[in-house]
Amino acid sequence: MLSVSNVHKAFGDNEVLKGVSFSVEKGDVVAILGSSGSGKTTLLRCLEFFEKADQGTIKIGETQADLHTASRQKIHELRQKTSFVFQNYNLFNNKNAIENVELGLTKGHGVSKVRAKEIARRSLEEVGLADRFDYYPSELSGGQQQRVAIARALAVEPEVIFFDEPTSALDPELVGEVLETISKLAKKGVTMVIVTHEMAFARDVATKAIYMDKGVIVEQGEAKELFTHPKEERTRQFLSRFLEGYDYVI
Amino acid sequence: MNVDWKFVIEAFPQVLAYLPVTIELTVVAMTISLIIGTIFAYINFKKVKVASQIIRTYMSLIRGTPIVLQIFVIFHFGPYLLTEMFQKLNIQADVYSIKPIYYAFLALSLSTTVSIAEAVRAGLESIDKGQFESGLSVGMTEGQVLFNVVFPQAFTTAWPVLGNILVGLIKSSSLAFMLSVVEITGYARILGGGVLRYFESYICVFFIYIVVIKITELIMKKLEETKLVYRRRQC
Repeated sequence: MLSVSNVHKAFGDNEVLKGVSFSVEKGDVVAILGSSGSGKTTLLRCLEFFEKADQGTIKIGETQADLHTASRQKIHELRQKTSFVFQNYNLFNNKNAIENVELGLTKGHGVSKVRAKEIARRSLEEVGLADRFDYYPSELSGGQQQRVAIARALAVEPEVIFFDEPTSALDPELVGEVLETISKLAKKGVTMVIVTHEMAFARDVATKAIYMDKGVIVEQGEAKELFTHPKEERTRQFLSRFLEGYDYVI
Repeated sequence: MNVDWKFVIEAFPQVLAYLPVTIELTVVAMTISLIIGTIFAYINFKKVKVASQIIRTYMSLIRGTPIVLQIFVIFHFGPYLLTEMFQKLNIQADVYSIKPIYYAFLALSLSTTVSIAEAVRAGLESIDKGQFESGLSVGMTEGQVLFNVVFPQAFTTAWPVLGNILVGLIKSSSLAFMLSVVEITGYARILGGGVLRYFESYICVFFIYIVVIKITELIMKKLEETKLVYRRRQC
């Protein structure tokens, strides 16, 4: 349903992505793992056209585009089939929770105001924020903001939602509520691609896992398989810290 | 020094009668400057290649010259340039039938546009690019994000500066007298000159400006509070 092939991206001399390809089926939850600087976030940003890749193609459903030369129209068309959850939430600061969700529906997808309000209410209830409709982002905690962001991404009924380290900016005690929300979506069959450092979460929720290092995919496959029987030495090394059961990070 | 308070009281309503001219000059020049200034700000913010260079040149030209000089230039060369232009374009129109107040609108807008362009650009620069990205990610066009998300926030940030510019403009509007547009300061000069009672007639303008500007400040403050509602509490 989503297929990405041969993505290349360099910032100056620094080659961040060196030919990344993968595909996602409907209902898949794909976890992209890897240490910092391995190109995970850049990959996701290229797929949403926030960065212009040097080369590569993306296909969502029947819509195909070149990541380097896609026209404005094409980019817009593809963005309407996806949505994005950011590390630092990026809620519209001048809109309250329910308006944040409505805006994408009314402006981005031409849904009527009445219908948008209805969908927005339902989405916010789904992420457990039924009592925070008229709160502005400045009045919400990080976890609540991220859940509004998830509701906003969900409301437009995208074919796939990209998550860029959705819990990395959160206080440890708030991580749980966001992960729980994402797990709920996974159970509902929402297709998601998640860049994350939360290993236990990736193992338990993801159906597929991709391990990236230095701009290439080292290994990809069934999440359970990759976590329990990694084939590549590099993957094993990366996972070892997690598998040995350290539960603290300094 | 003898102040003829009776004359002050007599003159006050006469001077006040020209307040609409001051307000007209301010409102028209502010509106023109807001529209053009915002467009300039956006072009500079986006660093559009040739356009932003032209705008920057224009801005340093205007910033580098006194407003009095700009008025002289408009006053002396404006009609001449227009006559040339009308002849070239074959427009049958008498340049000298254009009312002086239109030249005043132009003169006041030139420099106000520059100030507003910079104030709005500062507002735009203060916005995280994530605001753009999140709008685009839910399928909005760049224009929709701009008008629903980015500009409302940019103007809130620029608001106090815009208030200053507006107050400055109210006062600069008195320069229109150089273009023979009679507003409150201009009329006070005429009135005072007639009977050599400059001081008294200037006292009238003094009070009018103080009150008008105080009211403007209060309105701006009130509007700022309603715009700031989204920043009301930090968690």
